[in-house]
Amino acid sequence: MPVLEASDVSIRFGGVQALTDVTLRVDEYEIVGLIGPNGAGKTTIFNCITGFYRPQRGKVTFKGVDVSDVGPHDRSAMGMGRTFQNVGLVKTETVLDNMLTAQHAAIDYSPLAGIVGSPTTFGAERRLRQRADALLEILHLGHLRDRPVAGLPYGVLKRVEIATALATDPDLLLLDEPGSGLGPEEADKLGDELLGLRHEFDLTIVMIEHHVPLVVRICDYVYCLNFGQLLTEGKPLEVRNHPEVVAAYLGEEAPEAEAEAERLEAAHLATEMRAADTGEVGV
Amino acid sequence: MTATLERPTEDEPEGSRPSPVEGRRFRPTPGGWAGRAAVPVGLLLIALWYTHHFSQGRSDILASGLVIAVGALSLNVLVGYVGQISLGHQAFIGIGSFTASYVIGQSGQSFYVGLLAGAAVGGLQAILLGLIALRVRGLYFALVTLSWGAVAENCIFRLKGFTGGGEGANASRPGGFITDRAFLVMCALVLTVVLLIDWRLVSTKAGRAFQAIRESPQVAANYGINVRLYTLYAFAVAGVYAGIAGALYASRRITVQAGDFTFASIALTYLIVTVVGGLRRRGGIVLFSLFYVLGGEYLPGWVRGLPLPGTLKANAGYLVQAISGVLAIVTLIFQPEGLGTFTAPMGRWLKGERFALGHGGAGAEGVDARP
Repeated sequence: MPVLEASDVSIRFGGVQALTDVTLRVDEYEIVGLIGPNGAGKTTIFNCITGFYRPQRGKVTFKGVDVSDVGPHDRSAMGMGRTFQNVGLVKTETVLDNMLTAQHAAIDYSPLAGIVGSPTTFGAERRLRQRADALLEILHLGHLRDRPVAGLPYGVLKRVEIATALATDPDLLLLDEPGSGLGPEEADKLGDELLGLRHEFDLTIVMIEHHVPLVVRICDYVYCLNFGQLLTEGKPLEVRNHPEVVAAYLGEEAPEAEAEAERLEAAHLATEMRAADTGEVGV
Repeated sequence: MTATLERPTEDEPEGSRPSPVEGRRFRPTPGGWAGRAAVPVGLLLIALWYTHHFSQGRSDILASGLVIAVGALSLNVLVGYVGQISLGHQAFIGIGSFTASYVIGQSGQSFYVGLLAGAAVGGLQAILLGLIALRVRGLYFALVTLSWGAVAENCIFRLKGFTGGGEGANASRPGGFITDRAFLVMCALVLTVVLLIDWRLVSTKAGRAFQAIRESPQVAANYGINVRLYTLYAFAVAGVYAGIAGALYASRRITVQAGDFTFASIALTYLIVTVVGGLRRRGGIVLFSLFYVLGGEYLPGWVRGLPLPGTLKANAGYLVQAISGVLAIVTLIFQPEGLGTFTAPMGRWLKGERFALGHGGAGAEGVDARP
């Protein structure tokens, strides 16, 4: 049985057709990659899956239940854990507090019991703390436990976010560009880690990722979006070598890259000329 | 970033500040504990001396400060915890006040029933306002609260059957707490209960949900928090606090009139006390409530004794309002935590930590896990 199924999802914002009939299916224990150029609709489909957007057409099924009318917090409680492209953490709180907040749905006392200081809540809070600490240790973030989130570097925040997503106790983890800002070696390590997490927590993972080697290495299946439509799908290598994918990626990026190289060259030339003028060489 | 993939224990720069773990391990010496214990005991002794050595009126001053503290804590839930402004708190406090005095004065129930009724009705009216807050946000919601305050002032408080019109409504004090001194004890007890509730609120799931909602409803929802439900919950809690403050207000004054609950005398005053005391800083809020009433009592007389121009002396009665307004502006610009900047470290010190300004374990600048 597929864990997640999005069928014919279409959404339009004003005059922009952001998604057109996107269908994807994620089976249990799979790691599925979602690739495509900027603006292809990858984050939009994430928002439709997690319930932040309501698609105008199509439906989303999670663990066999049609969740089209279910709010984002209920989907989270059902077992969808998600990270955001621009880091979705409560910035004024510490890392630990974020981990506690993220376990909200798992807390079995009522909010009223909490504020009247019912004895059971103290034990429950202690258990939340233990679980948060255990998760932070697994992700090697234990030393940052009491640091406020604001001020931590971007790469660390991305990891903290994965930790909070795991704290929501997900069956399905949706990662929005977990590898952004990582070098090739670090991306490699992230890949190992995601494979380890999948094993440890029995996770199904969908990830938006631009880092193609990472996608090829750990994904079982890949969908490629372009202009809000599914361009192609298949095994990672098939998709990577698909002529249309190559065209969508390189066909658009190549001119940009060329222009960038030209600009750099011109800038370099200008500096050299200035250096020659002032008589300074090799500053 | 490499280092974060492994555990960067060796690479972590040491010595620049005590690590949080060390901070937790710190235990004060017996002398240190004695010093810490001396502070609350000393404050209590000063309060006893102040209330017992002079006339009963002094207890009443402190009691009015504690009532303001409860009302300001109510605003703190809205403004501080969930980040919703309220400019109509005279409605919150007034409705609680008139409900309590109706139940006590007209229905002849005891003070405690009045207190509970005030809390319940205060909570209900706040939930109604909260339903609007789900639809409009920010500036527009501020306008809604402003008009809710005006509606209460000009319509609800003029219902003769409810508020007694110009005569006002009576709310007698509970048996055993008739004198000003005894009623101060009642106010202190109620404030203590509210503080305990507030402490548990922020330490449990609802408080964390509020914090997440304040910063980003999207992140909150992603954490599994029902944003609408918890926004309403925050309004209910704020309304209950305000209802309690209103009931205390009524019994402290014994007679309350519609004219007691105006924008300037309640909503603005309480908002300024909350801001200067420090958003999310209970200690600072209670402290500034007391400063506010003590300032109102003693500053004018003191200023009148100074060699100052006559106009200043003539208007000395408004001095504490003027100073508080300036302090609120200064707070907003320079010291967002208000008095909490000092009371929060004091609180941590009293709990047995080292004294350190700024948040324990904070100072996130330059935190980088890179080797």
